[in-house]
Amino acid sequence: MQDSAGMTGREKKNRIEMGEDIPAIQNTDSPSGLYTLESPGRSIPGSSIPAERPAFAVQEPLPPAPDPPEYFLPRRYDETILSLMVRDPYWVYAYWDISTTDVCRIDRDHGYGAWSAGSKILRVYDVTDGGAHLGRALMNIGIGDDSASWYINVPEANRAYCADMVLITPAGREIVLARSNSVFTPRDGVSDVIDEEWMVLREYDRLYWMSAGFGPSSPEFQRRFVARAMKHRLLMGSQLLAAGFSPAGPWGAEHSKGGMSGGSRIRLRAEISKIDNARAEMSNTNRARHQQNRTGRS
Amino acid sequence: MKESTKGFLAIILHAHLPYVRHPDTTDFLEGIWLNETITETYIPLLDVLNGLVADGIEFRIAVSLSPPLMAMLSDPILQQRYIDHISRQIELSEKEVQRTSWDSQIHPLAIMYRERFYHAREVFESRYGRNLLNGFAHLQRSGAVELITSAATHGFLPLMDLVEESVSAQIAVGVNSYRSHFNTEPAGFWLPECGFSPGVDQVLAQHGIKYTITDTHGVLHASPRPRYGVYAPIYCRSGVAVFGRDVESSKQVWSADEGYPGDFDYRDFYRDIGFDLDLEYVRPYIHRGTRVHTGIKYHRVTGKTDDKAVYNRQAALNKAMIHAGNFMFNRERQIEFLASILDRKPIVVAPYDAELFGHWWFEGPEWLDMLIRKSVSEQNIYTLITPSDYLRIYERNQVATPSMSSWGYKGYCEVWLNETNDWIYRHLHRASRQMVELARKYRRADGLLRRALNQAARELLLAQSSDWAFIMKTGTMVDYAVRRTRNHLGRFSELYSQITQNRVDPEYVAHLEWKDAIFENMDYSVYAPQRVSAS
Repeated sequence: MQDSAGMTGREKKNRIEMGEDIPAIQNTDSPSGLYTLESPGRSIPGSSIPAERPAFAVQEPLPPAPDPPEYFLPRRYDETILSLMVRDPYWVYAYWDISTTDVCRIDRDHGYGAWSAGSKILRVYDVTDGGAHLGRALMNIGIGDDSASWYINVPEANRAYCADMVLITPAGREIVLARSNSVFTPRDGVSDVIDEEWMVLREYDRLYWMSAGFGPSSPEFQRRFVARAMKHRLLMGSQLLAAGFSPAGPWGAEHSKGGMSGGSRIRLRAEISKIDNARAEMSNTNRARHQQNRTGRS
Repeated sequence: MKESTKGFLAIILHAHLPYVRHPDTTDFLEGIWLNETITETYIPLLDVLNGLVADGIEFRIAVSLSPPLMAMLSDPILQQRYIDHISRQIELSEKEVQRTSWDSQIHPLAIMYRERFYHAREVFESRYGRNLLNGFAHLQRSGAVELITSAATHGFLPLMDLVEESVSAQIAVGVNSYRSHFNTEPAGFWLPECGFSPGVDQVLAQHGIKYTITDTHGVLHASPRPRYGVYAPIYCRSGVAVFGRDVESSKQVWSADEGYPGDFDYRDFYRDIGFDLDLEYVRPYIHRGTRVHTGIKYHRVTGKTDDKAVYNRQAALNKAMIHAGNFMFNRERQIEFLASILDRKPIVVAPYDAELFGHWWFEGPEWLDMLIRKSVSEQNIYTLITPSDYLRIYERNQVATPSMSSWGYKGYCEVWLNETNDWIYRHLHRASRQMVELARKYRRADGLLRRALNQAARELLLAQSSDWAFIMKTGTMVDYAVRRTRNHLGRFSELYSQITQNRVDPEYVAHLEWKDAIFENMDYSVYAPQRVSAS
């Protein structure tokens, strides 16, 4: 990585000296009689001492930047790492790197050429029910020497996955080079869990008890609470969720027992996608300023 | 609340722009984002909301202000640049009034823009003292607006949780930023891009956040299955309430095909005199010879044609009134229906990007004004409330864990994780781990070391802004987004080296403090929160 070495010799006039008292940010042009914040946010008492005070307030141009106009990032950091990230219910992104030290160690331990001639495998586990040692290996993905990342198409949503980077030496020996973090893919539909639980936040609970004149252990309160809970349990199997939204049609047109139908779900996603397309288009224009697009909307 | 109300409508406007502030130069195109949004969105919205309050309209609305936006709106350098910008706009509009004096159709529009620009400068300077946050704070104190906050630099949290402290820091700094600007605690937290992943609620709870908002399927796909769909919030086990976006009300505003903003009577966004008029004439008002939008646009959408008709302001306002009535009618029917099948009053949650109103949809602020006035005076089916209000009415809610989700294309993380931008995460995660390492190693640092650690945290946060990945995906202005990502990470890396090698350069630190001057009260210890013992 390009660093800022060579700072010595740069102009140092106007530099901010350590401990120099820098005036607080003030808007001297502001007229009086304005709406004002009750307490100016920028003057938190005790938040700064001179040596710690940031140079925010400096409004005079500083000398030429003591940092380079452009920084460049290395392609890799020469560290052994394998990381997973969830993209959506069916895709997980993996990136990795194997340090030179580890490569040398492999060649030392398993014979020169073990690394370069060996096969690199990304082995994916389903670890929903336990760690990788318990999980079942779902797939082995052959990785080219130049690859440093991969999009993994996982078979099931709402599952936990992790991966190993495995080297298979020419002698057929498997060496785990790196183990990833585990990730949990999101559900792609409504939950099958229909046991309901209800909650009143504790602070509200206390208020409720107090305003109702009941102590926390009042038998009367408990009786009412249980009665209400029972009522809700009885309602549990209702069709309310299914009826509670209508993805595309007139109100109530999408009732179905036991939850949202598959078709409704797909339509719902399609609607969301359409909306997001429009939004993306808007934001695209909004933030990235089309220079010459005058061809009309959408 | 109306006596006979059958349900609630919660409109939430999320205002955010990426942190674009280059104190050393005005020679960059991206500065226009803030300037034109102040004129076209923030001031018109403040006008509308102030007008409603002044007229005694009893309404409630939630407005989310992202910390980068708060930082920019309160920044003296950017405030001065806005004054310079709007003064140039005024000059151009004066020329336009002269130039179009022969044209009976366009001349009134030129006058309209001139008046809008003068008005913008006047209220920016005189009413708000150059800081629009004063206007939002005033509205909050009036009781009409509930201001909420967002993540420090609008980081997309689901792709950050590989290093949990990164998520905590984005939330902690976002909440602190709100406190420092408004001297009060935020009740709600806008998850950038509605990006939720289970666990983030626990951090929100630690910071006293009462509620947040996810996309529709964040709540619909929660487990256990939510009884009321998105028409009631759910409580995470942490106690944070999560409200789900309503599809129908979103579609009416956002949809490219069916949404209101595409109506043929509304002002066209693309036709702008910055592109239409002679280059020499507009040169002082565009970017170094590159044609850009000037904000003066004389045509209406007209249809799917390049042959655009002249904008008719009155016809557009009439259409906005019709659309406000239509939106209200649809919410009435929707809420009436929901109320008939639910055993509690439903809440319809309608969140929008604030920048849609005025900037993209020119008549959006007027539509909102009409919608609120009509909702208050012409119907009794629903009441306008905020999520906080709902939680005061319904204290008891179902407990469920929302599903990982976002409101981006396809509903998950693909917008911010695809072949155009996936390369950034290797660097972001590494820098995050290094920041945690620094924060743990140098607890209670002071003096220059403390400043260097705080600046390292700022650089990391700025690199994490979801805007850069988003712009890389959209494919325009990519160079800027790549450069910002690289430079913030590069500066972080240099600071990390200086700190760990005990050679912190005061000049370098001071320069970065001046250059990337967000979060004056930054405290790097958010990356190493003290563990509270369970005693």
